[in-house]
Amino acid sequence: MGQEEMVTPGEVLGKATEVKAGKGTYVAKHNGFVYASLTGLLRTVSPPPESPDQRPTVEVTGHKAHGAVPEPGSVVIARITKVMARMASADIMCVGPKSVREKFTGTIRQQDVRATEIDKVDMHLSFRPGDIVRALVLSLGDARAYFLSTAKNELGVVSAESAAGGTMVPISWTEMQCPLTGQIEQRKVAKNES
Amino acid sequence: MMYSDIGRLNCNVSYTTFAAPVRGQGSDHKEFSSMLHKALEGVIILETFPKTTVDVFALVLESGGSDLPVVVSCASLALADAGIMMYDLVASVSVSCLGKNLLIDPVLEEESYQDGSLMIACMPSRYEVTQLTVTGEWSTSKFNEAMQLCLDASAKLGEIMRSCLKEAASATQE
Amino acid sequence: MRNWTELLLIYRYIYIYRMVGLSEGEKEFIKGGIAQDLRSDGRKRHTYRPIYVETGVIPQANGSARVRLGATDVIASVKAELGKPSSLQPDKGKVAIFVDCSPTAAPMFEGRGGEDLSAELSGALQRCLLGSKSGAGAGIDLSSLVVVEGKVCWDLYIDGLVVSADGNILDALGAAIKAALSNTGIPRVNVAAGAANDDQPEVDISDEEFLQFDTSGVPVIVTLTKVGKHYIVDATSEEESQMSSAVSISINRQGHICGMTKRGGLGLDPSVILDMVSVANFVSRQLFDKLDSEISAAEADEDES
Repeated sequence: MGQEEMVTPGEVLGKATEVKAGKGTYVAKHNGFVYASLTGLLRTVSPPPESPDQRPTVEVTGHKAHGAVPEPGSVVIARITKVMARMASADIMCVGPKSVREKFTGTIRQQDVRATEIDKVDMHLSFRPGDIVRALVLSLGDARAYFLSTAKNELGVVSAESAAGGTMVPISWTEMQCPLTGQIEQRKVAKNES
Repeated sequence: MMYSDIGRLNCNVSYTTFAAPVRGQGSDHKEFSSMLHKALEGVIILETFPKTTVDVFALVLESGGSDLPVVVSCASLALADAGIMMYDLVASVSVSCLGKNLLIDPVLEEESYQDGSLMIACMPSRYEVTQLTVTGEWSTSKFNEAMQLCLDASAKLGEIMRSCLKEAASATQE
Repeated sequence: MRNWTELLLIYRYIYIYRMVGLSEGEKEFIKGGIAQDLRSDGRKRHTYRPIYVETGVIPQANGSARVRLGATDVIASVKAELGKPSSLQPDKGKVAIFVDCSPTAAPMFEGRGGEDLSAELSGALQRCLLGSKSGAGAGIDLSSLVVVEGKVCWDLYIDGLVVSADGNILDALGAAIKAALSNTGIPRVNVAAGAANDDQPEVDISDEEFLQFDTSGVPVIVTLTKVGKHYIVDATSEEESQMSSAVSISINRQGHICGMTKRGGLGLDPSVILDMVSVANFVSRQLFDKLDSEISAAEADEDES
């Protein structure tokens, strides 16, 4: 790790031939310099010894804590709000370990619920409104919502409440059981990391 | 909301009713919003904000002359403070021409007697002009002189803006 | 290999059916052509499209003109009404410039869609023609509009209408306003003598005699559009869609800058701006000559008909 100093947007951090542009920086095409694009602390990260590109990376971390924004490829925690015949709507609450500040909506389409037999998926047997799911962001989606997917073993319902009001316990990848009544309800359950 | 794969910028400049010396006056400020938009749109890296709109609202509490340059510089400081990714800060200065004299950063009274004015918004570190307006009659040599004056002033203003940002950022760190 | 003119005709045909949405190939074609000083319609970088001027198109207005610049078609009309000068400048008349983008020019101008563009054009024209607040550097001589100092003056309302938009609307409007002003006749006003100092004097507007407006000081507007490394004059709307930025410069006969606005887009190096000013100076001289000859031809036609 290198020394830390405060930089502002537009300050020259180095030449593109000597340093790599990390987060919070950009390379100007016309003169090949690396400039900062945020106000914050500058850090120089040394490259891992085996990589072919031996240039250190410069990064600027913003001084204001930003709410996270879902990006394609990130894992999010969302709460299901609506379940319809071919899709479910969810409110995204966390991106990775950070919670979001603004409201983001995600959609889980029927074909993205699981990896096998995607045309035979029954949405009401996979999710119920109020369930907390772990999902992967597929893309920015359309004007209204991001597209999410639970088509992996470790994705799906993480926590759900039964009709009686108790927090259910997962018993298989399709079933969860209520501890109060013993009733079994169908969900697309996420596999716990063990 | 329209879907777009780069971010969008939305600017609005408004005056309070008590901003002008005579209450309620101030009619040529309708185009300030679009001018602020033009000054800032080349500076924000909109590709990093897909499907998002950045709203900039400027409210002038008291108008004492040279309003638009102050609004532009202030807006760029606000954006830097918000953590929006930008290519550079925008420093903006205006010059008034009274007879043969060039006055930098005119006050309201000087502006009402001016024969011409030149406003420049530029990125000090990259030395690029993002917005430029000229009114009145200028000979080419005078125009060159005024532009040079503005650019030098913007560079100095840029330095002050940077030190101000660094101070504020270090204060929040502690 | 297709004939060059045939290719141009087909290109035009496709354009009429599609307002926006150029393919990558077409964008490269436009940029490459400009870099090689040969634009899609065969022009060089600093050549204007053929300009057609008609004057007196609106008989009820004091002055009017219609200018066609390629497919861009604009109409400017000047109406004069008697009014009271402002207390800050009692020896000057008043001029107001408004631009309206008609929905026939582009479907997106319907309703409030054209408002932003209209406001921008009105602002730019006011800056170019009316000079600064103290009135210095104005292309239009406002003191010629005063009838009785402090009491009665002419208010000129200049209205521009964009009928068809194919790029470079500002230059066309500037030319149309110049033509309309040279076509404008201000009626002669007889002031009743012996009026008391405080009262509004009696005025008698003559129907017969008209004073031609003096337009020697009116500047022309040259818009330079930067595409890649080069600037072009009189861009069509396709070329404008590929621009990185544009600067509109208003220059009068003496070669002085009367107003300048940078329109949108990315940042420009200051040396580029200075270079643009000298290019605009050069181009404006040709434009002045062309416009003056067109305007006198149009007025001659009008007198005959």
